[in-house]
Amino acid sequence: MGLTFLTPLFLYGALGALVPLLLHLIKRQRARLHVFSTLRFLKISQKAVVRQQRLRRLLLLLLRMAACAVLAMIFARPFLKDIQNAAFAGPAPKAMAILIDNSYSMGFGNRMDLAKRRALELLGDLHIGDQVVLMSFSTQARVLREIGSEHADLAGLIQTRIRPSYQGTNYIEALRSADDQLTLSNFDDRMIYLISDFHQAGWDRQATRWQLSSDVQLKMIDVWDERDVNIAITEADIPRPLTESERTQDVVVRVKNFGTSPFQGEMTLDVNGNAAATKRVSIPSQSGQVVTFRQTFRSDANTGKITMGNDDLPIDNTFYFTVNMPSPLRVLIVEERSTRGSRSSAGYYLSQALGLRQDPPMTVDVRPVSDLTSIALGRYHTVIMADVGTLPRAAKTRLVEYVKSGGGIMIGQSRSVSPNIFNTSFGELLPGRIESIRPKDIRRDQFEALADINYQHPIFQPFAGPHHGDFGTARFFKVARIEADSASIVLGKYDDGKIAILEKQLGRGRSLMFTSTLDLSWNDLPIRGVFVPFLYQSVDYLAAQGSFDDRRSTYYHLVGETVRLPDDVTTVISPSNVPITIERSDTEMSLFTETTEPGLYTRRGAGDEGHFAINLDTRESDFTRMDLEEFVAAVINPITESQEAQEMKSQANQMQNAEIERRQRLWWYLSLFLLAVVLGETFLASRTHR
Amino acid sequence: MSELPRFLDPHILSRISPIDLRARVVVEGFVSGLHKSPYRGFSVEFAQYRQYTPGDDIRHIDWKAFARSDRYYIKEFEDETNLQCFILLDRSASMGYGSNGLTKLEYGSYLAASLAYFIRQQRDGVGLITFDQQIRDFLPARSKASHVYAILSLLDRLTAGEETNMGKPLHELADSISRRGLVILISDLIDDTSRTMDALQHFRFKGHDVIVFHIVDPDEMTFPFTDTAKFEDSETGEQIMVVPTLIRDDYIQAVEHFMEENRTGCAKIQVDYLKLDTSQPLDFALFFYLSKRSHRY
Repeated sequence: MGLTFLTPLFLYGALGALVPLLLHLIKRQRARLHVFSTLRFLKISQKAVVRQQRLRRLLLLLLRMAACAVLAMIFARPFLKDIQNAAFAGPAPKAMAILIDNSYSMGFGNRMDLAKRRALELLGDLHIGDQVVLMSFSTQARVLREIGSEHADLAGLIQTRIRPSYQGTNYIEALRSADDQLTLSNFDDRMIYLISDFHQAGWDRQATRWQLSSDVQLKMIDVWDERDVNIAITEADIPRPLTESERTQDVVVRVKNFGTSPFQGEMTLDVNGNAAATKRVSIPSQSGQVVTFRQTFRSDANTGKITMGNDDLPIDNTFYFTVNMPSPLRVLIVEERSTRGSRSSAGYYLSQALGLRQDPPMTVDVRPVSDLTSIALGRYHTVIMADVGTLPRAAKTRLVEYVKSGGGIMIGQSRSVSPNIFNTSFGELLPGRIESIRPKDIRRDQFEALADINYQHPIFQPFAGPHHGDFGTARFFKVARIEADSASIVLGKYDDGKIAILEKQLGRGRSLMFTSTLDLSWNDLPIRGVFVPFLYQSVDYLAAQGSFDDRRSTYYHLVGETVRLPDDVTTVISPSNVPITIERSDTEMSLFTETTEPGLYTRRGAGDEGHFAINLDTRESDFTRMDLEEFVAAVINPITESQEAQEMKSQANQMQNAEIERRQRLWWYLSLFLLAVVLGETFLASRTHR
Repeated sequence: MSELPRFLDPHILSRISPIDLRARVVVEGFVSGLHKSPYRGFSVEFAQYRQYTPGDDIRHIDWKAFARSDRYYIKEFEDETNLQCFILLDRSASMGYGSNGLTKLEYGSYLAASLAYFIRQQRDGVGLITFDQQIRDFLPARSKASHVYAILSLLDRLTAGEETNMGKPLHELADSISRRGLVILISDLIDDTSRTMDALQHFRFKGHDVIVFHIVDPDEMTFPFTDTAKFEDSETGEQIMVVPTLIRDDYIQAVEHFMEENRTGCAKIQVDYLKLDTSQPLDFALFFYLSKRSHRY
C-alpha cells in the first residue's frame, strides 16, 4: 500500500510551505535592537513570555507550512493504493505468476516432481496480501487459479492438477498469458516464476519479438537434470499405395537418440494389431538412424504402430499411423450439349487434363446438361460447367442442393452465353452476375492477361513461388464482365482490374466462377503450362468442401491438431477408451479438436468405423538446452514499453486511480484538516505578537 | 508667567549652551516666579520689612516695630545658614539612557547645575560628587561663586560611566563627609534597593539631611514600545528578545513596585524623595528643594 496522487504535479505547490519559513527567517533578521537603561524589570516576566512566544511562533510557522503543504496535497488528490491490504504489516505485497511446464518432456525422470517442489517452495515465501496466478503450460498456457490473494488451495492444485501432457512447449505463449494475467494486478512488484526444463524446442527465436511488460520481472527456475538416454521415433514415412500392385511398401522410420548414452534395442512394427516385424537398432548418443520395414498392407484401411525399447521418457518411443487405399476423385464435366469427344469442346480439354491425375486418381465423366436431372450428383466430388449458357430450372435446383450439401461446382463461360439468360438460369449458383461480354468480336491482337492473383488462396498457393507457373502468359481475348456478390471472394483479376475468377460459399459447398471459357475459344489458357495444375488445384479445393473420404486422409496427425471427420460420425473413442460425442451440423464440417493424447482414435458413424492416428510432436523430445541468458535478454523489456502501450497503460492506470481516489476522497479529510489548521493558525496568530 | 514653563522645559534647556547659562535661566526664571511664594527670604540676615498680611507666620512679626508704629511688620532676612550641600550625581551607564533626545544624565546635570546655582545664590556651600560603581569626581562644598563655575564646568563635560553600584561610593562618601549638611542624591536608583537604602541610612546616621531626586525617563515608566525587538542592557550589554505588548503591564507593575519600594524606603529613614521624569520642568525640583530646605533650616 502506498500514498499515491492523482495529479501529482500539484505537489510542487508544497514548495509554498517554504514561503512562511523564508518570511520567518527574513523577519527574524530584521529584529531591532534597543539599548535600554536596564533589563531588570523586563527579565521578570520576559523569560517565560519569550519562551512561550518562541514556541507559539514555531507552532505558527509549522501550521502555516502545514497549511501550504496540505493545500498542495488536496489539489494533488491523494489516495491509498490497494487499501484492502493496508492493515497488513510486512513487505510490500507483490503479484506473481507461477508457471509450471507440463510439456511431455517434463515426464522425463523426476523433472515434474522437482518442478512441483520448487513451486511449493515459492508458496512458502508468500506473504499475506500477495497475489498469485497459477498456470501450467505446454504449447498453450492454462490458468489453474486466477490471480488473487487466496493461497490456501494453491498447494493442492499443484499436487493434483499438474501432470505431464502430450504436448510440446511454447515459452513465449506461456509468458504472454502470464503477462496478461499480471496486468490485472495493481501491485508494482510483479514477477513471473517460470519452472521448466528449458529446452530449445520451446523457443522459436525467429518467430516473434514479443517482450514482457516493462515492469514485469522474470525468474527462471530450472529443473533440468543430466540427460541419460532418450530415444524418440521422430517420423515414419509410408508411401501411399495407389494401386493393387503397390500394396507392399517400405515403411521408413526415423529414430533419434537425444541422450548422452548410446542406445541398443528392438524396434517393432505392428499392423492392424499384429506384430509384423522386429528389427534391432543401435544408435549412438546424439545421433539418428533410419530403419526400414518392407510391409504389405492387405486391407484397404490399415492401422499401425511402431515401438522401441524403454527409456526414461517412453511416451515418444511409439509412433502410430493409418494406411488407406485411396479412392479416385470423381469429376462431372457438364457441356451444353453432347459433343461426343469433339476436340473443339471444352469437355475434351478438361477430361484430358484431369484424366492424367494419379494421386489421387480421377474418374471424369462428360455429360450434357440434359442429363443433370437423371444422374446421381452425390457420386461426384466436383461438377464443372464447361460450356453451359443455359441451365434448366430442374437442373439448377439439383445443382443448388448438391452444392449446399457440400459439393463443389466450377462454372466456366459458354461461347454462346447471353448474360441475362445465364444469370437467370444459374441464379444463386453464381458468385457474380454477368453484366456484359467484352469484346463482341475477338481480335487476337487485343487481349487481357491475369495480373492480380491472390496467391494466399489454396488454389493458387502452389504458384506463389518464383518459377512455379506464370499465369501472366495466358491471353484472354474475350471475357465476361462480372459484378461480384457481396459474399463473394475475388481470387484473380485481369490487368484492366476486371474480375477474372471468384468464388462464394453456398451452404457447405462452394461455387467457383471463371469469367472466360475453359477451352481455347476465348483464351489460350488451356495450352499454357499452368492450366493442368490450376485445374487439379481447383478440383481438389472444391472436392475438399464435400463429404469426408478417409481414404484420402493424412495417415497421421500431431497432438493438438484438428482432424476432419466424415459427416456421419457421432462418436470418437480416444486411445484411453474415452468416448467423445461429436455434435453434428448441417452447415459446417465435422471437426475433431480433442486430439490431446497420442494413439489410435476410433471414429464411429452410421454403420461405419474408421481410425485416425495421433502422434507426439517429437521436437519436444530434443533436450538440447536453451541459452537462458539469450532467452532472458530477448523477453525482458530492457527499456520501456512502446509509447502507445505506455499511453494506454497510463490512461488505464489513471482511470483506475481516479476511481480509487473517488471512492476514498482523502482530500475531504485533508480539507477538514486544513480548515482546522487555518482556524488554529488564526487563533494562535491572534495570541502571538509581532 | 505663562511663558515660564517654556523656559524651564528641560528639552528647551538642552538647546541652550553652556550649562551655566542654562542654570541661570532655570534659577532666575524660578526666582522670578517665586514672588508669591511663601518660602522666599526666610534667612538669618535681615533684608527688609514687609507689611503683615493675613496668613503670614506671626512668629516673624517684628513686635518692636509694632510698638513704634502700631503696625504689623514682617522681618525678612537673607541667608546666613552656613549650610553645606553635597550634590551626588549618578553617572552610571543607565543614566545615559534617554528618549526624545534628553538623557537622564543630561537632565540630572541640569538639575545639579540649577541646584548648585540656586544654593550658591542662597550663600550656601555646594559641592558635587559624581559616581557610578565608584566615586569619579569630587568637588568639595564651597560657597564661592568661582566654585559654582567649577561645578558647572564639570557637569558640562560629564559622560555616562559604567555599571551602577550605589552602596560602595555612597558609603565611602558618608564616611568622608564629616560636617553635617544636606546631601542631594540625583540618580535613577537602578541598583538593589536595600543597598541603596542602606547607604542613604548611612548618611542619615551621620546626621545629614538627604534629598533623593529619582530621575526616570518617560519610556521607562510607560514602556511605549510595540514591536518585538532585542533590548540591550546599557550597563551589562546583555541582550534579550522582548515582546513589549505582552509584558508591558508586568513591566509597569514592576517599575511602580520599584518606585514604591524606594519611596517607602526613603520615608522610613526620613529621606525626602522626589521622582522626576525627564519631561518634567526643573523648577518642580527646585520647589521641592526649597520646600524641604525651609522646613529644616
